[in-house]
Amino acid sequence: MSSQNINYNYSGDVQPPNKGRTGVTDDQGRIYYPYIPSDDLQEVVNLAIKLERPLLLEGEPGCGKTRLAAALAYELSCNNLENVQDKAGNLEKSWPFYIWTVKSVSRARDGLYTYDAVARLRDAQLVGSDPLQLKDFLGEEESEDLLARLKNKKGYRKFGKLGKALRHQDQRPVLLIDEIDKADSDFCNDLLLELDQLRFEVQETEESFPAPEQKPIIIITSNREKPLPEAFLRRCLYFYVEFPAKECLNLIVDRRFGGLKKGQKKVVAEALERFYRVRELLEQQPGRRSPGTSEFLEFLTVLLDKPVAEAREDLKNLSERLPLLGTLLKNRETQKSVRDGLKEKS
Amino acid sequence: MAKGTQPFLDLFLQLRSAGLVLTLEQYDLLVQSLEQGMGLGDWPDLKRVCRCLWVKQEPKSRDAQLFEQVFEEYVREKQLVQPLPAVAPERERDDIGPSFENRLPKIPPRQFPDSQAEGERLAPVAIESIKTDWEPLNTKNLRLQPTELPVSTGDVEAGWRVLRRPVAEGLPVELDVEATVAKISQEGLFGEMVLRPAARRRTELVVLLDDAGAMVPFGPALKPLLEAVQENRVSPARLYRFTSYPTEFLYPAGGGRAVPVRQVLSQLNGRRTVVMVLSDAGAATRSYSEERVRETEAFLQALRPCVREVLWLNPLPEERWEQTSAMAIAGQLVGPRLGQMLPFVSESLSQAVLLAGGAG
Repeated sequence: MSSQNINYNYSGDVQPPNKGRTGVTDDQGRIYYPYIPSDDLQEVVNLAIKLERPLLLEGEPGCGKTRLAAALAYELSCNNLENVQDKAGNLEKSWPFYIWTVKSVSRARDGLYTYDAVARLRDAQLVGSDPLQLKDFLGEEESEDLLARLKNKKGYRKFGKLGKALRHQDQRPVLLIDEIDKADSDFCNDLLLELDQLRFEVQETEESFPAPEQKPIIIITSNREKPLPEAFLRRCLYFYVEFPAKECLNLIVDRRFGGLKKGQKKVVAEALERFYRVRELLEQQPGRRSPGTSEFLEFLTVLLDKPVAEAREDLKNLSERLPLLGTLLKNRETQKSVRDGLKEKS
Repeated sequence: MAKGTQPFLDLFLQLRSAGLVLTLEQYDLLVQSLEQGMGLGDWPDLKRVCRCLWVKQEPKSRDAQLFEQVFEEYVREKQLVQPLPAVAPERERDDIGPSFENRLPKIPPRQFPDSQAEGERLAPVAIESIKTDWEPLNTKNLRLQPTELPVSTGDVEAGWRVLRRPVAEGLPVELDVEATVAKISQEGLFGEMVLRPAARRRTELVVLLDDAGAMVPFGPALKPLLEAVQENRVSPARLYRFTSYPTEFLYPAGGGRAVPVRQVLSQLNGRRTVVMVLSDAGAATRSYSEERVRETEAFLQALRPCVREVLWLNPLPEERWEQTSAMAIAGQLVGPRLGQMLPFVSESLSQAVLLAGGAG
């Protein structure tokens, strides 16, 4: 496979086979679900790929920001790799896909590389001790390994997700930087050079890695818990992922819970109606968080596990079914206001 | 459509002049995407591309709405074969159209000397006087934007971000490589790692606001700063009021009982607290008060050991401090760790922030 004839276009049409709630896995245990992008989103992804710019996705929690990267990686695997799927539909090979989940303690450099200075120090100390004792202690082979390791400074650095993505040479890997707003406010600023010029340096070994020919496709998600610095925003393409419209959500349900019986389809239709009613009630109250797609899918999972009659009964009296409502609404005040709203209507 | 070499440059410039922060690099991105064949379908197509390249805010934000508005206007302009005459919108705004004029009662036709039949009484002739150059002052379009005031909310938040520089504190959890190496060279053996506390961002802000009558005119200018404190965008921060100069008591911003200065001081932290005083120090009334200078000096002396930095922001420019108590008080605030008095403009806020961040 030469790098010229790789198809990088994201159409959103290549979907994992319908495997119900489990999804398909790849050779590294990552799970892929069907994903239905809006036309706008699909176009923006292609724009980001063509312009070689990171794509920043914002939107309500649970509206499918993180899943997009996996969907893209899945489509690239299917379009460009041969014999990828086994009989069950799982991927035997996968497109290079890195997920860097940002935590509050994450530092920008950790994404590029970490250098194990302590291990090097320990090795140096061991070598400096009595050679006979060392061989006794570690054995012939191990002590030679130790010496070889110590001579090679580079053996102590490990690349992070971003570092790995920037060193890829054959294809353009997909890199997901998830929840970038969780980190410290300096985090984004520390990444400016790397995201802009796609090159980095390892100080400890004095290596520098120039920008790769195959630029990674970078997708960044943020929940807007903190505003991101202006300079960082300038370098990214921006897209606000809207909550899917009713038809789109219906399609998503169809893909995720395919092969439903007639009665179950009715449950889905009723659940959708109730769900949009709940969202409507919450939209009138600023400051309350509306449930997202992922929560709706959980809600539906619970309902579809029940016999049809019972599920429909539950939906009718949703305001009284607290455990069920708990899959959608995650705090007491919100639950209370929605219950009042639902009661008023019925 | 647009000119051959610079497509949609006029759109870009219109968006810029409307207040969107756009750089040339971002225009270049549009050119690149057009070259790649993106956004050439129709107007909505172009709009999508422009939006994702240039608008970095959620759909309900000011930037996004501004973009929508300017883009719609631009499209309307381009779609019309004959552009509207420039005066048309002006008329609409004033709500006096030609139809309105037509409805007014008509003056009967005048009689002029040359149209008069002989023998009729002469009609009086009006002489046109010379037009004066003087026009009434147009105050209709005079608007003072809150953003034109010296310090904006954005500045406050940006300043706060700088102020909250990391300080190593708490339990030692992080490996201190340098200290470990130093220890090995001392002992000649790698015994244990040296740990240090992880750097955390800890800064507390205490704002002391002068609410004397002389400070009233500066209310709107100080608003962004005070709002940022009250809405917890800058936190942890506390706001106290005093009148002219701090005496034995300070007054919490939200009302409530006065707090003795000593009690406030005991809650401050010498390594974290930054005190910001907002007062004209007598410059607004051009007065010199011995008492004011003396009391302020006493207060500052008590304050200094308890805080990391004292910043005095004076809403009046420096040249107005001369021969007032402000000059004397500014004189006390010179030197490292003693604080500084600065005029209240955007630059001095960032200067103040750097100063506070650098000391301690």
